[in-house]
Amino acid sequence: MKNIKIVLQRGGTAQVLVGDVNGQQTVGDALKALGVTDIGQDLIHAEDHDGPVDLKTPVQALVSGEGEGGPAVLRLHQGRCHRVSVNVTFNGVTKSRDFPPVTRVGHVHQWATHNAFEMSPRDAAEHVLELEGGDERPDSDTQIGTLTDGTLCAMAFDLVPFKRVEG
Amino acid sequence: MTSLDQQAFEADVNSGAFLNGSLSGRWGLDSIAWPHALIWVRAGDASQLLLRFELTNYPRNAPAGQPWDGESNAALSPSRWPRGHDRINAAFNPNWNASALYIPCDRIAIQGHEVWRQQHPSMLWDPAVGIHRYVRVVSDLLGSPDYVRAQ
Repeated sequence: MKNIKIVLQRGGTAQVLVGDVNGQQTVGDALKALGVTDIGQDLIHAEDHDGPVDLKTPVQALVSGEGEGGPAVLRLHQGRCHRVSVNVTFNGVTKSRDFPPVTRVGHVHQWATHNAFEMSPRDAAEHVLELEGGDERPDSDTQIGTLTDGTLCAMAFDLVPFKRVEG
Repeated sequence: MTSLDQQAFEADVNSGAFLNGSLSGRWGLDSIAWPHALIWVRAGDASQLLLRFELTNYPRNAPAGQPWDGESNAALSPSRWPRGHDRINAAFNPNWNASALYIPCDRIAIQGHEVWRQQHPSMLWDPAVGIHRYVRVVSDLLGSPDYVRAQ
């Protein structure tokens, strides 16, 4: 029975692959199920696990809990980065921290607003992460490794106010 | 035979980007009765808002979305629209139009608001992104501290 949903995002690309496996299948099996047959020099990271994971690891061993009201979900990231260096700039001040590439933008937002800039919960929710030098605001479920260029393991955000729509 | 716009929509709700949010419990497809589709979006209090989209010429044309009552299969009574503070009351405003949301990615709302293209580029309809753009904008609103409750 295929009872675990796999979400795979890859360094330097926006594409998200989703598939189903059973818990006894390995990470390598999961990648094959998603059409990924050769990862070359890439590393595979699993959410909530600090370092790269072995392709022979059963996916069941990497799932930390049930899905949020749905099936169990394992989020994987494929790419060359061990860690991604993230800069977040707010009001001219830049804070930095390294994260695993599988880390989602929502987690970086949590760190930036609560830990780095010590905002109140309301102020935190009034600010969003925008890619530095542009107007793109990645979705909270986007893995930060996808926002790198795939080779340079670094990226930068501006923390900007969430403007009201009016007029 | 399924029309091209319906095929494009079905591909988008089966895309990784849409399913990624579904697997986080943020939104999900309820049903399709072309050219309409029902999609729920979770609010900050874990309630779900059902939206009915009119999707003719998708994705070239932006969708038009409206709050929907799944039980009576009719437009949601304005008294039951989400309420809250500034951004919520601006976006969910049946006094402006009971058949649309006042957000830049809505087909009806964008009409006459060309200035939004400069003010809110991240909230504009983008055919290359598809329905994921619209539901994400609604999800961000309903997850904001401006959201208080569904009536």
